[in-house]
Amino acid sequence: MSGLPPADSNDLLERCRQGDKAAFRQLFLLHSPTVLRLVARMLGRRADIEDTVQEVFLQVYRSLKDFRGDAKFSTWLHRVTVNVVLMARRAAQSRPVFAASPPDEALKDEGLWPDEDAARRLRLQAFQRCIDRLPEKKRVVFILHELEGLPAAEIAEIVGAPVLTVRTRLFYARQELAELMRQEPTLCALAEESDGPNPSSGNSPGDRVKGQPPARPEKDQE
Amino acid sequence: MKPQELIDQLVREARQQRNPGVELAIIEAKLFERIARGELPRTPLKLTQGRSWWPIAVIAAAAAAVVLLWSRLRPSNQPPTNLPSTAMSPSPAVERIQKFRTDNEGRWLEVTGKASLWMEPNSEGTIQEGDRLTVLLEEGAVILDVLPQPAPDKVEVLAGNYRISVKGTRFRVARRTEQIEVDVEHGAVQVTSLDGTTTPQWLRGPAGGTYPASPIRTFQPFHRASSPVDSVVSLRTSATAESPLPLPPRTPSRNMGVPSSTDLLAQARDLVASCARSSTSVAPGVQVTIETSLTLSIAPGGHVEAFAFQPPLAPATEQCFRKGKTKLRGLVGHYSTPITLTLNGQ
Repeated sequence: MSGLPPADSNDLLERCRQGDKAAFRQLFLLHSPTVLRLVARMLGRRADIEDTVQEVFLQVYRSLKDFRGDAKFSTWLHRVTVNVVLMARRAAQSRPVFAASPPDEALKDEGLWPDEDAARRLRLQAFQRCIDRLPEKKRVVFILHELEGLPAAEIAEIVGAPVLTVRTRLFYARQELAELMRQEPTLCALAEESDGPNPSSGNSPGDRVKGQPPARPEKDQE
Repeated sequence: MKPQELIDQLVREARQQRNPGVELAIIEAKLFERIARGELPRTPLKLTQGRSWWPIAVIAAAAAAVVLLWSRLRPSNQPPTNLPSTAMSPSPAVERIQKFRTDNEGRWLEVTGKASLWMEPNSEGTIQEGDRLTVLLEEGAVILDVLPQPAPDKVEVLAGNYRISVKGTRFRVARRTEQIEVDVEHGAVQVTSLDGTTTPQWLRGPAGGTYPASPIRTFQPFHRASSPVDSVVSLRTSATAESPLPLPPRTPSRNMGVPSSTDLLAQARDLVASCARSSTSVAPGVQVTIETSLTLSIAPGGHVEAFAFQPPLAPATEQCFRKGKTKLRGLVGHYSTPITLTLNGQ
């Protein structure tokens, strides 16, 4: 989110504050890919991503005049994004879910044959499930640090916590993540594969790495 | 592969992952359409993370602390109680301000030149030694053997709303839930309510008095005959520690006709035992042990308003207790006591 030189950014922000919609469009074009990526990583549900990104920029549009420049704009934008996503997640928790609604794509097991791309996608889906199951505060710092690559000091500004707290949350997030990954067959098998085959197991590690039995015919036909 | 290495590998893969198949152009179009329609959020986003309950918890804790302190320090001339809660060692010396707490055994404490203190088991309070020796009794009982003092009012015990100031005497002060008990072996003490709502009363030994724990406008000291020596056992404070002050046990008649909580619960336990024996048939050679906990609620009229056994007793036993509880009288409050009975078949 720091693609622009500071002077240009400040000029752009000033124009946005004055209600220049063209400037705000430019701001959107500059920052929306990063916001979209962060929203997708934090939300984990494709269905809500578009609405949430819109909501982030609506909040930015409304609150930009309150941004005093004490922190970097990117930090402030991260903070807005994190809070909007958290609100969206909470709203989704209280939202009724129809039994007939299709599962989220991110959580869907497509049962593909274990080629490399499919295996990688399954791994990442399983990894995302584990991240989703982390407690909120730990999940936020893990995503911001590990996936977004932000330093702890900046995360501390974003989440409004001391740097030490951020590091502590990060440490425990990794611990809990390791524990959660043991419950994911795909990831558990991946670890076993790396450690070598387990003779007591009936399945070969290779089969289990891909995490799934061969695809069912009807699935393939779909 | 170690879990942390696996996490690192997955993180690397996740970082390389492309954005989900979401068309930013569509988002852009919808966004600016909403802006054009003025569909902005009504309230600015609160930039706080997560549900932060700690401010509420801090405020609640602070409020609780203020209420607690206020209730304890209502009379402004009481010594400070916010001292480190350290159990007193049996050291013969006293710091200027010291908190004491005894467990199952009582303890002696010597205050040089002023008094000897016997702290009964399960007592708690604060001793402040300066120009005046003040014992703030928060729970339990203390016995003071006060040396004759050159100046008046050099030793005092604060218990609830009362100050018991002494010249030179041996006396005992017990703070109970519902009342303050004062027994004077010899010498004299003056009992004054701290809020000034009652007239100061002198108790000259041997004498005793009970005073309600909550401030009221009158109180009635009682006088008793010289203490019989054979009642020492009742004042032993623990199996290993014997009270130095052989005062007689309290009887219901002394407490203005209302049994103390100890007496009430003793009567209740007796009633339970009686009911259990009458309603439980035990085969010869068999021993039955009953363990329960009795909770009593005494209404303002002094009668038992409600009771409960946890775990419950046999219906017949509880029915018997229900009939017999009309004889139980006590001071308003809730009381609880464990009960263990052993019934032998005959």
